[in-house]
Amino acid sequence: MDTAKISRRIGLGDTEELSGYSDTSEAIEASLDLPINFKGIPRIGGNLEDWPSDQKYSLDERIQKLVTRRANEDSIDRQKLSDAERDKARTANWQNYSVDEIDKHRFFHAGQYANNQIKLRLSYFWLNHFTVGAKETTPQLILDYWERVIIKGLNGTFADLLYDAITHPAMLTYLDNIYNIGPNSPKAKGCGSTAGQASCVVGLNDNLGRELLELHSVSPSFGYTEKDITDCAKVLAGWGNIFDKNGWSKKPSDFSRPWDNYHSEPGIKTVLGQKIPSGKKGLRVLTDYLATHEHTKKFIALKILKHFCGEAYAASHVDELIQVWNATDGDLLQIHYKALTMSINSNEPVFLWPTTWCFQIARITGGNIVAGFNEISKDNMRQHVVDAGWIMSEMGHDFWSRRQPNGFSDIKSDWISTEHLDRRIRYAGLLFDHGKSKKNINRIIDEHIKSEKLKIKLSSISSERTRFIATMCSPEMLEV
Amino acid sequence: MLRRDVLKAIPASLFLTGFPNLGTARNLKDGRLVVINLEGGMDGICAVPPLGDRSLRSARRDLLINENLKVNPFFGLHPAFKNFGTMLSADEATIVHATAFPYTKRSHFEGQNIVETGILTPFSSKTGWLGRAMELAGVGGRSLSLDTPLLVRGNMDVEAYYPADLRGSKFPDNGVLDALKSIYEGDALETTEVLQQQLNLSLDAPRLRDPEGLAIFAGKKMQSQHGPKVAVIRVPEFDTHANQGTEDGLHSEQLKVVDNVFGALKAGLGPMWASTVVITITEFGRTIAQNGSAGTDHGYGSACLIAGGLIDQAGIVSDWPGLKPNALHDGRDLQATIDMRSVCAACLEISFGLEHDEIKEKVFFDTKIKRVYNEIFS
Repeated sequence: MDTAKISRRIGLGDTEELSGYSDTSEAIEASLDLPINFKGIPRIGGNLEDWPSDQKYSLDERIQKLVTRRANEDSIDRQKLSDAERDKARTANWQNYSVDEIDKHRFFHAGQYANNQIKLRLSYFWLNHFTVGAKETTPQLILDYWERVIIKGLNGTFADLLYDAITHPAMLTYLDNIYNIGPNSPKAKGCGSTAGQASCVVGLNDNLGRELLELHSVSPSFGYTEKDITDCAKVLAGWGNIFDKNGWSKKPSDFSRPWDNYHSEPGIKTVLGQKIPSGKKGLRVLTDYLATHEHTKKFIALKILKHFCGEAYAASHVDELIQVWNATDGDLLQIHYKALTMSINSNEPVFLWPTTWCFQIARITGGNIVAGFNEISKDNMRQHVVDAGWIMSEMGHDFWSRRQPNGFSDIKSDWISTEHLDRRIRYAGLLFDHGKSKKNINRIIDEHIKSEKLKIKLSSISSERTRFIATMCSPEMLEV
Repeated sequence: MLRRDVLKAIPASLFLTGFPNLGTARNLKDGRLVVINLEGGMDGICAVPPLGDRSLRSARRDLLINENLKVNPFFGLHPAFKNFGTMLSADEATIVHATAFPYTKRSHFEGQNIVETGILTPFSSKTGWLGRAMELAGVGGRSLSLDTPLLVRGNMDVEAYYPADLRGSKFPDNGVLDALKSIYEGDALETTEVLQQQLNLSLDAPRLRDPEGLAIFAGKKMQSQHGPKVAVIRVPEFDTHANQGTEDGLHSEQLKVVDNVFGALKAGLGPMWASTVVITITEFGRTIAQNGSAGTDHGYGSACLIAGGLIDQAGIVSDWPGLKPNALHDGRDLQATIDMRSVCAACLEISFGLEHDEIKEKVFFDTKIKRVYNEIFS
């Protein structure tokens, strides 16, 4: 496989990051150990800088903004205002205390400018495996989830990643576990005969428990029962209590320590035949058990291979990947290294997700149309300065979108449609019209297109704009 | 407008498909078929409550609705269904209750796959039951959404419609599309050809993406004799595990969306409404009992709403299994007594003119599927 194709396959886009290494495997090995340095540009056409510290938020800062935003909303609703005044006040409040617009730009800029694209490409896979979409407060939390759980987890074990993902407030909110209260919990007992009624809402919510088994670990291939799901929900009861006795609107509890014994279900539970103790420690016992289950290893191995080696990955690769898993106790760094080296040695095509493609063509051309960090949400944004969140949404591949917990598809046919093609053509057109590409299109064709026949066809297109769009949307760029 | 409002405003996708293919079309009925796919598992007990069943009240204390529309002495209809209720009054709608695709494992993703493929082993088919039926009826062609639903995938071109709103971008011009056609092959080439035809025909199409706007657009397109014969509209977010609501709230809002889609389709179709059948599908119903967070969890049987001028008489088609604990599936869910594949087959029969035996053998690959055409349409 040629270097340009390998670079796109493992997430680099351009080939510069491969220079300095004797081979691609060495570059992969080095990248997996390196931290990610988040960079961005302050404005379109500006120079690359570290992402500004005043546009980074800790989990506590995010929560505090949520609390303030909510309190302000209540205050605005109580004031005597005209409809127009109320809308204006609500919009200003929303903009002042929401950080997801900034987060989406940080995410998009990272995809174009961060130093370690190999790790980022891995992070997109896991962000999708442990999907958190927009629901209630989650948009304010998704970037924290991505950075502190997913990216940090790339250098740990699968067992750590599973536990950290399940207990992050974004996941606990997205899959309703904030409402999961043990029917025999201290809270339920305090309700007495009114337990389960509107005046004292308590009871299990099995949404996260179900997806923990189905999507995050063993998968339906295990053949678990409804009782397994119910006991899983009992283990999870108590995780994610963001309410206090006054309710969310007044002063939610601390999101960063989302365990509350008051909501937990007492007693030993049995999930997939495994006894799980009561209390906070029970969940870690459960996730550790699930993380090392043979069905989990196989399910995750299949997903990794489909994503990085293509839909028609070699069947023998599954056993090879599981062998690495067994030999390293689920060390993701070793599993990733194995998967990526399998990928670069495979000839099966890998269809790129829309945003991965957006990042790569920006890196290949050196162009950019996304607002700089000093331009986010500014009224004076120029026509060709585009909001990163809007691009991801329009491309149908927005990690902040409302979507189902099974995440984005890895199947090519799910991404082939007239509307998807329309978006790709439009994005490439925008990049040509306004992106200020730093590389001549003929050089890009020469460096990145392998097929001589395709090179000839692309080079023969007389219009430079059409040649640029056709190259970016060519089969070799869409499928690597 | 706040971004969250924008997101809320686009909860649906539209797919128009089945333009007549004059080269291969069989001389079958010229009906129109619209499928509304309610993703997440629609609560049929809330949408069409069995008010005459004494077990209902004790199971759902916080989810009961006081102001239901009355359908018959036993069943009510959620008050969100104003348009659909009017259609019922006019003998233009009917309801099938206690129905489901025969899938009981309660996974959204397996269930949705089965609902779209019509095959009971999940992830075993790359084509959808509707796509295969269109192929069988010779209404191959193309359609007008962001992706192409599995439901309509088959051996035909499929065109999606979900207009782009990418700031500052330009329509793909013929020069770009011709260039891409010269370098693509297979599915990508077919998709480009269809996109080119679509752009040449639809430059004046409304740039609307809300469900009602898409439904009106679909209806207007389907009015034409040479327009699409099939549309699929996807309405997500029926997975109401928490705070489901009653007359108001999450579930009610989603039902209003569905009701507005029914109304907009009728308005858009105009005279062609007389030759149309519109059907809702969903992967499963919800638990009979409410859970601890004033919501409901994944269940089994649900309700199916059908409307259109091809219906002769309004009614509720149901072999009601009852809500007593020993009548429930696994002691928790509404039992499904009518196979949804039979209901879909009846809709294919009336709109495409296909024979039931042909549908069960070549669309659903199951000869045991019963015919319920007469119960629904006669």
